[in-house]
Amino acid sequence: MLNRIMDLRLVKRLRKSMAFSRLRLHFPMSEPRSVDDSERIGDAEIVRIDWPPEVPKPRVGIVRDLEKVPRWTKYRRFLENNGFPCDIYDIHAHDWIEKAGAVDLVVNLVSNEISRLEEIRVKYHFLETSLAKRCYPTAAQVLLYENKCLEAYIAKAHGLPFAATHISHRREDALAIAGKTRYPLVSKINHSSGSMGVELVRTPRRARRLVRRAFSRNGRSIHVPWVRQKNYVYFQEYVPNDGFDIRVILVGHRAFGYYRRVLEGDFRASGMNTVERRALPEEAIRAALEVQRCVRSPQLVVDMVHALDGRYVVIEYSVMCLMDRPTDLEVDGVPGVYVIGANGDIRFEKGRYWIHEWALREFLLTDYLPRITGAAADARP
Amino acid sequence: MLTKLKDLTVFRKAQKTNLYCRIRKYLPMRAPGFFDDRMLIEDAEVIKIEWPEDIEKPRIGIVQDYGPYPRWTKYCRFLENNGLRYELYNIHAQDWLENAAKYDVVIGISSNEFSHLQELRRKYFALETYYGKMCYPSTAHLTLYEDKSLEAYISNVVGLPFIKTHISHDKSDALRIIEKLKYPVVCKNESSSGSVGVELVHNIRRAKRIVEKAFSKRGRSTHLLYCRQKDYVYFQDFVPNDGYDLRAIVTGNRGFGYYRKVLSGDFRASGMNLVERRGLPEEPVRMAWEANKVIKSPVLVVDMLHGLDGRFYVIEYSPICEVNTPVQLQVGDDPGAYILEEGGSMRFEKGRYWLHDLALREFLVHYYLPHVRAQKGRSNG
Repeated sequence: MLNRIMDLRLVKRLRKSMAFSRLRLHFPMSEPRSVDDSERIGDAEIVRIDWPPEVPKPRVGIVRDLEKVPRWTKYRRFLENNGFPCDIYDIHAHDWIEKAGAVDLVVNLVSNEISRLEEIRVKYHFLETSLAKRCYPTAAQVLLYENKCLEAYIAKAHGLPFAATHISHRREDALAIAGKTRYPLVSKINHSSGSMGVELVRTPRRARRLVRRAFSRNGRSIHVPWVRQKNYVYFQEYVPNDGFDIRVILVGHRAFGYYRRVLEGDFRASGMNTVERRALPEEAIRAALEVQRCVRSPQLVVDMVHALDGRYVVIEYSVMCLMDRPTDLEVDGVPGVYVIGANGDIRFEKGRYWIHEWALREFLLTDYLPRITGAAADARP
Repeated sequence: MLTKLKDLTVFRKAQKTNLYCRIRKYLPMRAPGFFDDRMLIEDAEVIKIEWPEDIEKPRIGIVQDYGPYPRWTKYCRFLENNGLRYELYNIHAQDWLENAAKYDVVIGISSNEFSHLQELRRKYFALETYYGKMCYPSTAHLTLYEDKSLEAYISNVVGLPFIKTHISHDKSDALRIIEKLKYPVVCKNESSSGSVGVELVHNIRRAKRIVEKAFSKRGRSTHLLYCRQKDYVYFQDFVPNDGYDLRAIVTGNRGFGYYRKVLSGDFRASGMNLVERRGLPEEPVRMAWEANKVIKSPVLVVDMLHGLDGRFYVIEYSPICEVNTPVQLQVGDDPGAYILEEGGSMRFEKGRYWLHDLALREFLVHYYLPHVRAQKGRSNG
């Protein structure tokens, strides 16, 4: 019954409003805790890594995440299958620095909640710069994760096919933008996921109101009560599209992905639980590859829309995402992966994979190993 | 009258409470603006830099800072005195990326306010990582600035006699910690300065209340209306001392510093406007130089106290500070600086210096020039 109510369009839209999210916190909810689904993840292919015998395998500390479908169990499965010494690493406790002595590499994020990301951002920065440990994601990738402004800056720096985005940290400048932009436009907050804090602004009046609030002394309230939108606005052009978001997930020369249907009467697809798994267009994969050439992350998740003029326009990208199954790509009901050949051709290959395992493998091969062996000339940020 | 009122001990104490800071935001106050004090800063030594002929002088963008004691005017003075090209750079506007193309180096920060720091951390990261610019302060130093937790973590590897600090991001761990603390302890927020949000916790009951609030769904209120303390606690041992904080400032081989008297009936000195300028003992200045060997900042400010056991303890440190006079050290009636000689001896030299001039010189000579030389070396094969 509850599931049916949750699936109602109205409820879905309501749940994405900031007021609902804040109110929800006043009602009982279970404490976030890490889940162990190790018993249920054995039905995916085993991902193998060829580790050079002359290089000692790193001791890996796994940070447990608080997701319902966790990442940490997949990382552990991969590491155990490949004979890497690994253990759970409690990064939150007061003695995390002493405990870091026992590991060479720390993997995973706790959650995408702001307070947790801030914690990890600082701790990974410290681990990398002061203790010479490696982290996956790296401190630079954590900084980029869930940071929409930084995504847009990088996209602009490299001329990526990113929806035109106007970000300002000065009130007068932001008001000037509101006066000369074409409406509607999409307002986003810097840190959010699943369409939270994303809204369609239809008129300059509404945009000016948003600017005034964001640049007020208190800032503008968002979906969480402990931080507010303060001293910035993020406006992205609204790209008329065919009613679907396309998500392409790249790991090395492999690509996965699916569609998310825009909720009827809305403009958002992310977090609406409207996934459709079918073949991806080649142009979408190539657009994602263009982003990856600049971002160079072991895993890159690129969200785009297919504009009515035929272009594939990136609206966001991320170095990580949640995955609830080992079949993120399905073509005609067959789970698998697109494999991108050295000559650029793309072919489909059957298989069920936990993408987190490929991502960790990719990190070890293209980031950890080159640094250890001194071949880090093309090191990532 | 108002000035006399503000000088009252009780008023000074009240000003440092989170509650006062939040209420104050609802009362009229001037919007932050830029002050131009260039007519008032000429009474300090001119700092010169010998620019190598084989390296082109950089084009510099200066970010203006808000407030009555600006850094940007001193940067302008230094650059003009040395024939270096500069422009004021509006980093807050939406076209900041296009405008960044005009510069090789970007210097300055807007303020120590949390929202401004978050903005600049991301922008400087993008400039350094994706645009190949150099920034002063660097992203790494901006990350450290006003982040008390990171200071404490780094102090572990710097070997500073940092006062024992207990930080936890896990509620049950935090509750265990407070059982073992020796009270009173000092509780702090991560991002605050001038003693704001710093309080003495006298007993476990109060500590427990802080933990419960910090790990609650809404977090614990701070001095800011737009940001709360969420999912962490920071407790520092209280060290009985001689009633003064001592601030040592080092830039290159020059050392400065002064004392700040603890407010009567209080335990805090920072931000209380009770500065005493007199000669410093050698040990704390040398400690600051030692610490900077690891932190590698063009300027490093170390706040410490002299314990009743005769030892110096570090409370906090920072790669950036605000100064309101060119006299940052005074011995007897003479303003000046301690000079660290090559042999390791220390001597006093008379002079009036704007610290920002020296710090910028240090950045250009010891960070920018070596970076450009290394780049040239690489491009020459």
